[in-house]
Amino acid sequence: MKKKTIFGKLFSKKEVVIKEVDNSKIITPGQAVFNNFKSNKLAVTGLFMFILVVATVFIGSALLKFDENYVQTTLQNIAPGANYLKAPASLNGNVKKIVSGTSFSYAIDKSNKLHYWGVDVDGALKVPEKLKSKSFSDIAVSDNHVVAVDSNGELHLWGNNSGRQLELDEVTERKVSTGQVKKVIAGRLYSGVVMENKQIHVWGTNSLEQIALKTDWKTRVVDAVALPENIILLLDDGSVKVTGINILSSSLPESLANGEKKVVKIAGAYLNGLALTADNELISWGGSHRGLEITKQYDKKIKDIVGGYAVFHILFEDGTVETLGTTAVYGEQLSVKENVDTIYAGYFQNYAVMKDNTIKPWGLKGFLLGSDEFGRDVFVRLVHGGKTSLLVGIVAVLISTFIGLLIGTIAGFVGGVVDNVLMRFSEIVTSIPFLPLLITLSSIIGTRLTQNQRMYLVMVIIGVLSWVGLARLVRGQILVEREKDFVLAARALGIRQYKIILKHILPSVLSIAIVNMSLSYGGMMLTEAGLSFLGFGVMPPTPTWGNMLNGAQKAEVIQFYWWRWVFPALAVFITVLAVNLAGDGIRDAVDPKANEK
Amino acid sequence: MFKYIIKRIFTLIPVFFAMSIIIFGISQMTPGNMVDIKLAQNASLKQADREIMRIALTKKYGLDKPIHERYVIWLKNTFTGDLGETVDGKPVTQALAEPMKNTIILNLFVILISLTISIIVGIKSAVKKGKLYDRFWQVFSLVGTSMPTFFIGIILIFIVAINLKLLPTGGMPSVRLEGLSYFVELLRHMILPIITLTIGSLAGTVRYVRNAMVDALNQDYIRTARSKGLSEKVVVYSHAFKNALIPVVTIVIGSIGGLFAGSSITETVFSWNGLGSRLVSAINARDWGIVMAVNLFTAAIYLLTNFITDIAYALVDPRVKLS
Repeated sequence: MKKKTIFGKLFSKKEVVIKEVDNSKIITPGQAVFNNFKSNKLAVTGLFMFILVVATVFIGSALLKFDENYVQTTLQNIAPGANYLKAPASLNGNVKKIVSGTSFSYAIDKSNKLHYWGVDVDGALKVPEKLKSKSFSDIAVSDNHVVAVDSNGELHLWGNNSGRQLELDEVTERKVSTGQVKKVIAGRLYSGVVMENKQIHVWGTNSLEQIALKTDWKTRVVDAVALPENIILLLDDGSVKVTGINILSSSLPESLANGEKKVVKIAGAYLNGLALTADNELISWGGSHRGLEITKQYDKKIKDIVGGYAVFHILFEDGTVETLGTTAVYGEQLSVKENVDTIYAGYFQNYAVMKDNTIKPWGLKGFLLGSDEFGRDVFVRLVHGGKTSLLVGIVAVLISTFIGLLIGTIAGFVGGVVDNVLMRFSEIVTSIPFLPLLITLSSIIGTRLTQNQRMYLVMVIIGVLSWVGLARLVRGQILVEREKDFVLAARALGIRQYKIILKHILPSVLSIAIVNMSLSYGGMMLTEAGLSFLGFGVMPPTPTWGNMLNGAQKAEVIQFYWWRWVFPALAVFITVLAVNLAGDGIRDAVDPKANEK
Repeated sequence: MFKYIIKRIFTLIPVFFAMSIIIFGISQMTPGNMVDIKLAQNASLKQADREIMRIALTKKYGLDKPIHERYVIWLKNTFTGDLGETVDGKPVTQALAEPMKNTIILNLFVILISLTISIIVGIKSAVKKGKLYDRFWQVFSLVGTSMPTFFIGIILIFIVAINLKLLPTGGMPSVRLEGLSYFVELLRHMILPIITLTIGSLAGTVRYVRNAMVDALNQDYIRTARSKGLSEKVVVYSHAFKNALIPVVTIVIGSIGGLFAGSSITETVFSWNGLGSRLVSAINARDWGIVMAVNLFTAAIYLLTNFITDIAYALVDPRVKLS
């Protein structure tokens, strides 16, 4: 366009430009709110975080198998770590022996060097510095301690010592040091050695029965399997003996005990025993309902039998493997089927050395966020507990919003005596000391309810006690709105009262309600968490983030098992923070001046 | 003003009665009454003796009377300071004397500290609105309101008490200590719970004071004051703050009730022998006499603080009593 001179500007005919109204620039209040919200980076981040939490919790809980009543105390209070099965690569083609405790494993390679991996329990994985370079001839582990014998026949013990299982008395020590050690064994709170001269020495334990050996067994032992509560012994005449008083010792078949069947190999699971006789027959005994009973015999020649915590692996000469056990829940049954050369199992870990010398591990990989006092996976409980925590908050918010809207609207519109009574009533509800009453109520009513009913009760109580703030806001808003000109105009037009309420006043009230909902949701989650933390909310075993923290009332848990409180508390914190960020954003978007007031 | 107070007291009366009925009602819902508990404690008695004892006890605790009469008796007893008995036969008032003292001491510190800090920080944030200082406290209050109280408490225990070993993890000072050493020990035990409660309380009040101040600073009279050439100090502290004080007073007094009621969690985390942790242990021990007394006390504090808030509001803002 040609540039106009100043004269041109002044005197030329004005061009009439009809500006078309740009429809895209007109925005509805809803869009304005949306745009406001979108431009608030913090709020968007908060919303995104919240969506992420919800997605993780709901998708995760659909994917992760979960049995709320599952208990495995053997695995209690193990620190975070998912490397239980990560055997070092240098072991490939080089394994002499692998032994596994609950969360850790040791291996001796062909040059008698020690290798170890996993997560430490009670110092069982803290190998004394001077031993790291030594060569070892045998090693055994329990759930929390290690017994090893070096190439000079000297014993080394480390780890948990609460049964004094690391301390040999002088007599035993002399006997061990003068003889030739054939095998070391380690069970829960006890240690032992089997000597080449068929003697066995066992020490430690808090219950003497567990390791009570009859005198005539002591000098005839050729093999021993250390179990948490028993020792299975194989004597030189092919008979089997079991120490301890429980189902494993009482159900030992007579034919095994008296040496009628010549046993060549023994294996044990937690409360089960398995024996292999010289004529390729398998005989099982011990705790029932674990799927560990031998129901059929095999024609193929059996090379080896090994036991984990709840499985038996039967390795045949042709390299195939058969696995027994139905209660194994960490994938121990998922065994390698063919071309196996040797197989090792301990607790929930299994290692197969294949014919091509590679190591194939399977079983319990570990607990990403550690385990709790019942050996449950904290991560899995966190994901499933989140569902309850999020749900309790949402239902409570819905209840309180409904009551608040209802009472606030009625009080605002009807006014007069009704308003007065309702406001006095709301005053009573605010004067009710929230937490004490909540605690009292949930403990009184809660005892007569089932698990699920109790959860709903918590939601209802929190909701029913926290509507007052919203009711007052709504009432105030209505009192203001109803005096505005547009309502007067609507009234003058003869529009009915209920229509005025529904179409003209409620929308502005609704925005308050939505803001209030998003801001109070975080508070409700905190209330549930606090209540469950004290033990008055949702009851275990149903997990919520709050009741997972219940254990953190003990200083011991705070100090030693930090993963049991840090992760659930962080989950609550992050979720509530996200909700509050988003809630603040919604408030600012709806009423940009709110934060200035 | 006097008339307003009287009017306010009159509205307080129905609320109080409703409260008392709710609390009495809950106490009637509790499983196992005093008679059952006492009988269970004397399980070795013969059947006939137990019957005699049951009748005598029922009479003693007035359980043979209809419920409305029991309510009146309970109300009368409560007013005369007789709050009933604990499970082990001590008067509730005696059992609660020590916890109440501890709770009040703890909360006095918290209120004082949080009031001071929130006023100082709130004013400064409002003056420096949008600056780093303001942002910091905005973030602080957001984080503070999103953090479960027990999480703050446990973190403090973990870092300060367990790892640095600076302060005790919780509990009360030994009763054998006397004089100054007792007082020092008490302070040492109190520091962590005070910090925990203060963070929780500050998170809300700082934001409130700041917003009240921002609002006051935007008023016309501030512009007038500034245009008169008054120093910024006078404008902020004398003109703005005085007016911002109204909402500040209400929120601070209003939060007292919440502090008392809400310290159950903090007191439990730090094993502080106060009303809140006593409530939790009493519920676990099914000691309903104590539970009801604590509820009554916290309810009374709530009513009282609500009442004081209203009066204070009316005092500083004469428009209130007209409406």
